[in-house]
Amino acid sequence: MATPENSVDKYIKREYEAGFITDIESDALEPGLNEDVIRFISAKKNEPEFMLNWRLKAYREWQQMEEPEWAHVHYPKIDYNDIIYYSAPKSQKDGPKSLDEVDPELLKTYEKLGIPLHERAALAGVAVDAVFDSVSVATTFKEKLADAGVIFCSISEAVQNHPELVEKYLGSVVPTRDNFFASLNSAVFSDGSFVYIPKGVRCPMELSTYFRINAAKTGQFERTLIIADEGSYVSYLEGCTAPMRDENQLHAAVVELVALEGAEIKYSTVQNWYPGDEEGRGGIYNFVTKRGLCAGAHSKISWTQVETGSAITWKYPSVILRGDHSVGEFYSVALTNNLQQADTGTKMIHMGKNTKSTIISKGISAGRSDASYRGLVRVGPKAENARNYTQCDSLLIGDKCGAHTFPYIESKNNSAVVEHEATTSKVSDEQLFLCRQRGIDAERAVSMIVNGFCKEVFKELPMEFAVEAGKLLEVSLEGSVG
Amino acid sequence: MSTRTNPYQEFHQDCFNAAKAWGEQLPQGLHWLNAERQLGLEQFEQMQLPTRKTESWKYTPIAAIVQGNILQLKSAADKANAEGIKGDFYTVTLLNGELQSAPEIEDAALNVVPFANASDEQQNLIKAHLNKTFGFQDHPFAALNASTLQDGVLIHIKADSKPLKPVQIVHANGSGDEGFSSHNRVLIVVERGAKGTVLETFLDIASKVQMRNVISEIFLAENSHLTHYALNSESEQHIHTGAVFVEQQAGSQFVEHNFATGGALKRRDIQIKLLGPQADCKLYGAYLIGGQSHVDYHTAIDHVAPHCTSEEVFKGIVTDQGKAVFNGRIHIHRDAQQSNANMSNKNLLLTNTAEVNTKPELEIYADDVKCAHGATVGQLDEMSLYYFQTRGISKADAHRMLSHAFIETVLDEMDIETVHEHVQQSAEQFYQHCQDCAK
Repeated sequence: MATPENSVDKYIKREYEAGFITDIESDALEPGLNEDVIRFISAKKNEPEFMLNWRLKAYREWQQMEEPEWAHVHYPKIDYNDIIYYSAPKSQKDGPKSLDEVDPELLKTYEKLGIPLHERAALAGVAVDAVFDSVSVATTFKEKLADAGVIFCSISEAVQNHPELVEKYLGSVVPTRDNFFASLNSAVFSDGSFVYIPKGVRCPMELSTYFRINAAKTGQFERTLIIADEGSYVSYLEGCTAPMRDENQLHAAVVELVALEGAEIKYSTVQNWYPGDEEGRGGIYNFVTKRGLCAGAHSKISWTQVETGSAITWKYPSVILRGDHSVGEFYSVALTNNLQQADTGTKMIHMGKNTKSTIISKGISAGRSDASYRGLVRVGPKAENARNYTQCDSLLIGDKCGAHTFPYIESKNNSAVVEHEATTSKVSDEQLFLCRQRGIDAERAVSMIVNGFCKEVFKELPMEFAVEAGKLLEVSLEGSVG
Repeated sequence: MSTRTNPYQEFHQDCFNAAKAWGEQLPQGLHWLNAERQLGLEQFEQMQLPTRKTESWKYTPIAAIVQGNILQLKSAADKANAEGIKGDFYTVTLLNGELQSAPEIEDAALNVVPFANASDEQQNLIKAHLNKTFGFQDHPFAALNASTLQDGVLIHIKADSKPLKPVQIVHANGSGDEGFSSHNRVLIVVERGAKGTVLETFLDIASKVQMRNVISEIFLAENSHLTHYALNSESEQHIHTGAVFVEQQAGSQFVEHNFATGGALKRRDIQIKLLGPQADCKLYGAYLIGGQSHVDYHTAIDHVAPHCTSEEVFKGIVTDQGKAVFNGRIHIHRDAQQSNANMSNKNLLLTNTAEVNTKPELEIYADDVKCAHGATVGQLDEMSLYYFQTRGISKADAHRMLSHAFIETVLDEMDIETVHEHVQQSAEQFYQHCQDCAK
């Protein structure tokens, strides 16, 4: 009952739909990294002195560090002196104040991706802070948010307009010397988003940033900082696609979330960067540090991610549960195909009393890819009544792929309960047979089964993202029936 | 000569020198093992001792070994009489690593031979199997063991036969001798279609710090069957680094029972390679850790061939300032389709000063497999305790009964009555101890 070879091939060989290069002249630096480059970036962005010092400190720490090798991924050594650390679209110089002023080439790029910025913003009620390469070019709905007292802007603007907040919180969750890639990011980060939700405010709309890597050879170093003050709520969406190209691109972003007493942050990601071609050429290296701090009591941070892109993913969205009664959640679907490699998971660090965490991770590997779940649940001696539930399931499609699980559990408290469960399975012939008996073809059946497998995670996504995520999986998986 | 500042390097060098000197003074009768000893020595010299940054020793610092001053290899202690578990066994006793007593065995199915007494034929059998199941990189103390190879024991179970009694190897020591370490070796060869049982009992009656480093290699030919027990009950200051390396051919079955209490540092590695189709292994473990004891079980099951099954259950109770580490790895190789593997590790953590670190890993490269693993760390259910109390049973008793019920599922798998009773008694003492702590 095998599916005909040709249909499998047809789907597996499907070209990356979002692959194209927008031809815009870039205001780029020469490749290479030294203190002068950092001074240049800082000066270019007209940053106050504390920022320059912070960057230089990170750079000096980064020089002392070694690239980590523990992850279950393989890639050729990266030459950090062959990367361009600053590139801004030229038309940005005068700073567009509305969409009309934005380079039409840029807007076309979004249209090709099916994300008409203004329409989407207007129809969906979503404010979009679009990051095109390294500088924000359009921010919508600012006024509406401003009425609620919400600050949603690029981090460069935040450095200018709200330096006190930036100085207080930047690096408070992911310190400059946290890890190799985070240090590098701290030294050279170009731009990113900044969100501040004031006390007691429920953000009136879902905030969203569309990332897009353009200009060839540009490492992109996003820095996102979200602060939810006491009793506030925000839901933040992040989605990405990137043009096709043959050279590997490094992406080392840092995302920091701070939830004060009673605050809640929901952070959702759909990641669909260029995964490389069938032979694994090209594709994005996605080495990201994401961490949230539940600083106050009764705070909550929830990460939801759908990872289908990138040649290599190295990403562990984590939560430090410092406040009593705080809650951390991690819902993840990671899909790898062809020669993609994903090493992803989470860390839940229980420090406060009565803290709770839930981890649901679904890994799907097809082709010759490798997907690993790597997680840490640590319960400190003072985390009375801490509770964790972890479930990580893997689904294998094809006999050349790999699925791995590396869960670390460290418990130092006798009132804590930590549970971990994992299973590995494949789309069974029986399941397929049942569907086909009922007139559903094999492609559709696999898609249904996989969607069912991921349902627990999809239901955590905001509506429009759930639709996109479902589509993404379908595109990546149809035809992979073994 | 370079200045030696790192105590680990210094210790490493001292160990090397001690092992080298030891090999040079061995009697002529054991010279046929020189090549193996030399290989171990070379391997040990090249490797680095594990630190906290070594992934497989992350939670188990070897400071106790380094500071334990355990370099002495020749014991001058009194030959105290150590007895293993009483029962109907062929019992071989290794005292301070040296053969003390071996029974007269008149069993056509079985040969139990100290390496020193091996015939030419047996020497060839030993040489064909020794140090073949593991890579020296896997375990730093395996290389140290190989470099000091002396009084090993060969257990050879002949094809299509079954010994009349199980074999018990008692690893014991004398009461004196500070700073002593023994490096024992057991080699078990189970021929085609044979079926046997081997117990290894680890005892410690010394009042001083001693280390025992035991490597057991087990070969199971087609359709053979072996049940292996590793029973550790040692004193609080004892250091144990042990490893069991198993190779299984098609259709063979292997069952391993582990039981551990006490010990300042106890590290056991169990590595099983399922090399032929339809091979099956079952691993059971129970650890009861109190005081300042530290136990670390590292298991690795390699499904190399298709159609193999493995089942692994480890349970532990950790109290006082005890520390338990469990690292289970299941590796399904590329062509090992139709594999079925289950692993579970459950822990009761009874005090805030105790610690459990567990890591059940899966590494899977084949799609038509069924694998599951689970791990839990928790405490006794308040509702269950309350239920007992509403029936007039004291909290302490309820505690003991529930702890017992928790561990019993693993102990019940032991199929030798006297062994089961023996571990039950050890467990009872431990529950009593927990209860005293709780007061």
